[in-house]
Amino acid sequence: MSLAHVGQYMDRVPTPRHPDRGHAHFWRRAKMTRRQLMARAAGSTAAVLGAPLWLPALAHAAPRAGSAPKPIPGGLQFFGPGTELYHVFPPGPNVENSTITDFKGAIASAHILGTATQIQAGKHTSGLLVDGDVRFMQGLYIGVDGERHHGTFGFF
Amino acid sequence: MGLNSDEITSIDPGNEPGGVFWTVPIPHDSVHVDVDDGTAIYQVHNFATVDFHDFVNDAEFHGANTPTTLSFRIEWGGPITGRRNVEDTSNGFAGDFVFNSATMVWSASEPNRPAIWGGPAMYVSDPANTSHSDFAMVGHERNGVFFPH
Repeated sequence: MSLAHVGQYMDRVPTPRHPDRGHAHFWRRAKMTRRQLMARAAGSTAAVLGAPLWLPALAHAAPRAGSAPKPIPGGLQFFGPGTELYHVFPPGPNVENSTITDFKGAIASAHILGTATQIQAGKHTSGLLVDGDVRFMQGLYIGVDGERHHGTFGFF
Repeated sequence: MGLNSDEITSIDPGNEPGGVFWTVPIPHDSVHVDVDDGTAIYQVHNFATVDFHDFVNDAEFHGANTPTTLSFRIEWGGPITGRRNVEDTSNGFAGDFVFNSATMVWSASEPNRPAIWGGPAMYVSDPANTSHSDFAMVGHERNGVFFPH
């Protein structure tokens, strides 16, 4: 969930032909919305495919509650090749929208734009742009403990 | 190193390097979904999370943040614009997906927002029907060891 002043955000996105790398273009990069930054990274060489993790036999014990999920193996390097890999792809119809792997269940994903008001120090500032990348995953997963679990996970 | 002067909040659960990204466990009843109809509701009430102020401080620096109490309700529905069966061998996931639209209403309270970020603040979105999505999807998915079966 991200807020920005309306009119100062969307119209300053650099073209995809000249991806910003490193801090020389830090300022321009920072003008992008979160989804724009993700989407552009996905279109560059900084996207890392998520090769399936072929594990041996699955445990067939009854699912238990708890245990943290594992991130998807692929993802994006928002800040260019060689930088940190973030285990996420931008929301979209042709990409992995889940952020957890070894998962089987229901998923929903959306990129939502809207407006909001900030109330701070007695001042109301309305018309702020809202940029929401929101998702959930609910179902069976194999946690970091290697066991099957049922869980519900929110992304925002 | 300048911060983005335009961005005011970046509210999310954060992420540890190498860990799941902006993803946290939520109560089971926070979600109601009917994939066949393409409808879903995702809501939390007074959920404890954090605000990193801006994306770069959040993602690149894993920087300072302030506690935030977040409530939202997101609804998927409306006319179905497409259905797709996907089997992506490159990324190891498959699923059946329904595409439509989504709306969102939300609020957040930050009583301890630091002075450098303007001090305590609240945020209230405009009504859900004033929001719009440029992408919305509900589906069944399987990945990792559950792909392709």
